[in-house]
Amino acid sequence: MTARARDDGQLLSALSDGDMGAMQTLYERHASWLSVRLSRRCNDREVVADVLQDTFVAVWRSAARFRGEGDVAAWLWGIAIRRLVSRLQSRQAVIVMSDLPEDPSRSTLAAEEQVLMGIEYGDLGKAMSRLSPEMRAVVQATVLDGLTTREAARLLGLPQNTVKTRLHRAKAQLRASLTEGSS
Amino acid sequence: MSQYHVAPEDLHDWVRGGSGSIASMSVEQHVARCQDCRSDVAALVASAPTHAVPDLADVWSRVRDEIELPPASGFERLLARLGLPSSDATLVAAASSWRGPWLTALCAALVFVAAAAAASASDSSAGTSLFLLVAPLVPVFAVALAYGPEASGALEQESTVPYPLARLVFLRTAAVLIGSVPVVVLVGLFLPGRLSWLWLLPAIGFTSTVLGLSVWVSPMRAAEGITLGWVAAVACAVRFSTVMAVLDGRYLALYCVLLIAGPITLIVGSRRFGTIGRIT
Repeated sequence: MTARARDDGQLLSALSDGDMGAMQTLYERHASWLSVRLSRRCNDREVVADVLQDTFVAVWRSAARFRGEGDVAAWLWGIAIRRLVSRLQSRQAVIVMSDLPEDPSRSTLAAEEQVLMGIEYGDLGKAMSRLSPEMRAVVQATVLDGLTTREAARLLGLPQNTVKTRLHRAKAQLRASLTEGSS
Repeated sequence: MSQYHVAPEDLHDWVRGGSGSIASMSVEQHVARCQDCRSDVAALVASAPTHAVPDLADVWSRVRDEIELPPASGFERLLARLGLPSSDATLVAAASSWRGPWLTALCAALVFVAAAAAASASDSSAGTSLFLLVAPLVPVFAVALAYGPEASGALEQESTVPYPLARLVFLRTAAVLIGSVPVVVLVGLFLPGRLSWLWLLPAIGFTSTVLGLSVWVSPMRAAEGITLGWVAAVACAVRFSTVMAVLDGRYLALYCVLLIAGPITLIVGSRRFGTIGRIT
């Protein structure tokens, strides 16, 4: 069986036997989207490159720890975002979160988004757009990226209590707009 | 897996960093679950590299280099954690004084000397003389052995890499002293009075002299010369007064001068000649 034909879980189990071909295939499949997603959270290209390197080195060393529960892509992202957080802890100041404003003129995009949102979140997309950018960043870090409040605080450069308060308020607002939308 | 996929232009915007935060959240959530869209992302990144995303081929070669490297030894990792750059840590860890047999021999010799010294607890006894004769020479030989071309095959390779030789020598010396001095200090604690720590002054004075002399001769020759001088001095002291005479105020000042002059000579000499002794 060639490396191309194997799924991610099989590739990971091949890594623990030192299969460099499997490692390369895994890298080719996942490095692109991981690096794009990381660069949305950190605009320093060098830091993203280092984090990507750390991530795959960690994958190589800890492949045996993946038990086949859950998705490989989600597992990879979990490693990558935590590497980014620990990188931010040791090197400060170069990181700026990207937060582009929504462009209301892109109405063609909106229709596509509706479909996506409909599948992934129901009305959550609309509710999310009503949140302030600060709260949205907190929800993104904790709920979507799966970080703890402590890790999110480091990523966003905020005190941990601020993250907790914002998350609490964001959840209340989301709940309010979702119940309002369904009634 | 979802039967819907991200529209090509949305995916394109996300890769370029042009989509808004809500749009990119939904794209990210979808891409994390959808293998087809992930390969579309890979194709987009490969076809037109953007400035925002790092060079993936370069990162891959770094990943491969790192995982093919043998893992660092525990000692190297300790040094790196203490803040030493990893390349320096490798050099330091290669110093011969850290190898087991060397340390074992050192401990055995010192325990023997200490036993002799402890058995006779007066200032002028043979045991004290023996300790004072041996102890200052231990770090001197530890340092000389760490560089002498006689002892280190690695040195030939090390001296060809573009790395400041004086820095290499100082790093190694620090490593060697950290390895050998505590053992001697421990033994010295069993000795009476100020002897237990005063011997350190000639010890580091001589070590630094070895470094200074290594500009002209090999460290081993320098260590041998110092040994002859020291043995003669101790012998004279024992013959004409007590052994403690070598720790007289005037001589202590001399050791301090040696301590300061050695590293200066090494730095100036290595800048001027670009060579250290027989190490070129």
